[in-house]
Amino acid sequence: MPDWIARLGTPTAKPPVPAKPEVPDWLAGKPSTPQVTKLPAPVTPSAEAEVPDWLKPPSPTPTPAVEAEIPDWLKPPSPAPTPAVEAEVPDWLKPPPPAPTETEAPDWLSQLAPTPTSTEPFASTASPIETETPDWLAQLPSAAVAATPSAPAVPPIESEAPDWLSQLAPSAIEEPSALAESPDWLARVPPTAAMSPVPSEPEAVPSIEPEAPDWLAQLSPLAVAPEPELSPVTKPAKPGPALIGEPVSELEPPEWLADMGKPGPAPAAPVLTEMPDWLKEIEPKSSPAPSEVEAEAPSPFAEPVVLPPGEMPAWLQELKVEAVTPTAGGVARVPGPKAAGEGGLVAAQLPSWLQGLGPKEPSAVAAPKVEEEPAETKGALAGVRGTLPVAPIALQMSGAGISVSPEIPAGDLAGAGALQELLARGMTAVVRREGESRARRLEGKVWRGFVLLFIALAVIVPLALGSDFSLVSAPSLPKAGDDMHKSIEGLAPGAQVLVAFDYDATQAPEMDVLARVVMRHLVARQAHIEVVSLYPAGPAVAQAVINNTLPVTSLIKMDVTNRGYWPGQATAVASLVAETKSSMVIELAATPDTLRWWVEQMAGRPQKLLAGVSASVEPAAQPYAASPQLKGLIAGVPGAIAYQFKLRGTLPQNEQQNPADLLAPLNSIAVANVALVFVMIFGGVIQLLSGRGSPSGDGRRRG
Amino acid sequence: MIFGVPEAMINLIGTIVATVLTLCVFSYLLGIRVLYRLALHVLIGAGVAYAVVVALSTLYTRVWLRWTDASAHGDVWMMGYLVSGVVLGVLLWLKLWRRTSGWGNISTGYLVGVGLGVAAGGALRGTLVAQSIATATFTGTDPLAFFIGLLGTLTVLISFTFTATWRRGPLKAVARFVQGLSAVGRFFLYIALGATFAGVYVASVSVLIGQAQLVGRFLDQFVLPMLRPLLSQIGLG
Repeated sequence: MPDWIARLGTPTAKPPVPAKPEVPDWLAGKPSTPQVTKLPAPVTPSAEAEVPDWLKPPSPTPTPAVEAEIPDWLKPPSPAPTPAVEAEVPDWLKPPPPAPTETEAPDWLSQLAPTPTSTEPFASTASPIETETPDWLAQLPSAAVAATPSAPAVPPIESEAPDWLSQLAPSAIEEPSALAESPDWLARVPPTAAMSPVPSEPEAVPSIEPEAPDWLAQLSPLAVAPEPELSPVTKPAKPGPALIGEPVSELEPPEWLADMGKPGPAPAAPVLTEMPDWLKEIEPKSSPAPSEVEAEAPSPFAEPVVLPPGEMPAWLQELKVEAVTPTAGGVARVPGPKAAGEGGLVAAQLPSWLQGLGPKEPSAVAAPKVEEEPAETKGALAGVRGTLPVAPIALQMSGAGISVSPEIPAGDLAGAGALQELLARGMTAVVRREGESRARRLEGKVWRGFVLLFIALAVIVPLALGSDFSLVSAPSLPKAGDDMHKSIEGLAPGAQVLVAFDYDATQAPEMDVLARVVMRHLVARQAHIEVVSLYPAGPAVAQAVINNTLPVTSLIKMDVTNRGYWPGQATAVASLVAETKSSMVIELAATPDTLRWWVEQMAGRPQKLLAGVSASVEPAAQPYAASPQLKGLIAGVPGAIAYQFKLRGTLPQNEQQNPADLLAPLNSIAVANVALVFVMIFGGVIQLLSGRGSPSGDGRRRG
Repeated sequence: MIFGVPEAMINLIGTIVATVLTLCVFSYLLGIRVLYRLALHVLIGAGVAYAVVVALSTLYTRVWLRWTDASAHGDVWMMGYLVSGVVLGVLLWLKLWRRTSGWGNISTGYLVGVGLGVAAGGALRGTLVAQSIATATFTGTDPLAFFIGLLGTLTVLISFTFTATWRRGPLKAVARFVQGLSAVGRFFLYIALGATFAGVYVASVSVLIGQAQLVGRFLDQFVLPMLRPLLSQIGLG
């Protein structure tokens, strides 16, 4: 609530307020300054004399001084309005019935009338309270009470009032509709202070209390000062500093207050053009019909209004509501319940003048521009157009989607086009980089193909040459292999040996060489061989090795039992170790896991554990061979070939293989190793010469 | 004879199939992915089918044959043992349905418990204790190898120590010493990883050699005998 409204509320000496609980906080919370102490109160013996000039009907011969100081907006309307305007004047604006007697005026009205004693010390009795009284209130009667002696006390300030305030009055007079929509609380305001001579002390008006809020009871004739606030609501006006919340200086009135009573009707058109939208929305464009006036929201301040016959503005006519007795012919009653009693405000209920800010009926504020913006549908701002879109903002803050308006401004489209261009450039760059990457990928494919082809040739060519190509000699058997040979060689004929074929077809080309060598030796020792496997495909691989261990023409008989697949991994190994009667276990492992299972489960067992492992398992098997948990070990094709050469003295002459055939794989392996070393060195040199640094992706990015 | 087919013929068919599949795998080098994928699918499908057959065969030999033998001899304990195994297997099948999956936890718990017990005990006794003793025991045959093995083992273990990070005070020197040992351990780790890579490479080359020899035998035994008359007619034989 603006401060100026709060100051209207209570005087310095606050009278008892019976209906205080019903007064909203915004009205009762802040004490106001006693404007009455500052106001001039001319005392007139009669009713005519008590009515100040600014409330008097227009005199045919006003004094020039008064005419000069009364602003136009306070002047009565012209006696000959246009027929159109008359047709729109509601009944309550029509000529009032005969004026009531002055003795019927209530006491609070009499109190509002300043006494002569309070008039004289107006300037000199500027007590500390006066500093609290807004100057703009003091400025108001400068025009209204121009006939009083103290009226000229504020002429210098008048020149500082803004234009928009000076334009309020003409529009209010020229538009009867605005009169019809004047806030109801003004209807409760005592019409004039000149109705009866009453003391200006606020303590002397207890009779007002049951009928009006305390802040209204304190109103003096100067209480019409809310007119500047009323005007923006009902009439087109410029936004002033006070309307946008700027603090009003108490010592020096703002310009807009200084010009409150300054005559200066401005053309309506410029005002409309400078008016903000929210003011335009609430501006009544057309005068509502009398029925519409009666259909307005009920107000607790609604009282019969007696209107002079076109002599005063409507809002001034309403000030007489409490003072006059309504008559049947000249009274226009604004319908409304008196919920809080006479003049009381209903608790937790907005005043009608605030509710009036939001025209519930669009027809009452029908304007071409108003319809362009959406109106609030609920809340205190229901019906007001042009408010901030709270709901979309709230939805945006809560993460919900925002409805996109299909009408995109041209500036946004231009910005979007620029962004799209930037994105297109990025895509082009990505495509270009992707093209480079494609070239690099092709280059990588070429290099990899070259390496694979080179190694393949290094493997195949020695094999194709056969015995004509001899690059390596017969390898020597390592100590672990020799231990293995000794262990098998020490088997008695008919000894039971458990051989585990723990590999499948994918490792068979390498592991079969080892398996054949071991099986040959076992067969040569006439051992009883039991074959098991921890792989489901192991028994088949084992059977293929068994079938190819000896030549078809061999006369040696094999004692081999294929016990098949043993599921359970380490558990199966433990089970096999527990139930076997073999004195020796030979593990043919292509992976470190199976070798570790056998070694771990054979720990502490009396059986010997030998192993023939793949070359890739050899690093993991060496510690077990050195422990020595493994009593013998051969690894990879080289170890198998070395073992094969060791067996030559064991097997019969017709069972022995050609040494050149045995060395053929070693020749291929040797050439392949040389080829790999060459590829590594060549690749490193190329990498360094090309300046790509590391062959990893970082090096390519740097390149 | 296997199913009335001579074993030599079976070996011939096996060699032909193996050679064709090997060539299909080698076609990957030429960019022919279709044959490569076909070979992979054949390998996987045949492996799964063979595993199913092996599982059924194992069930037959390990359960049914034993059951008949035990029932013939009236071995109640063996029969109870076999029945308990079958019951556990049936309970494991109940995990296929949501309502009865809880019953399968009995079999799962039994398998996991027994497996962990066997593996943990074996690892503790067969690897940790045995290898620690072997590393710390000087056999007297090769002091240098023993020292290198001991140093490598300790420094590799220290290389996994991440708590020696003191940068001030008297512990700073200790931290630096530990970090130096960690660097030595990482050096040994690099050597071990390099040796492992070399072994994997040799194993791969060995597999390639084995398959190349298979293809060479196929060509030498079946293709060249068919081509020799043709080659002799054109003067190349």
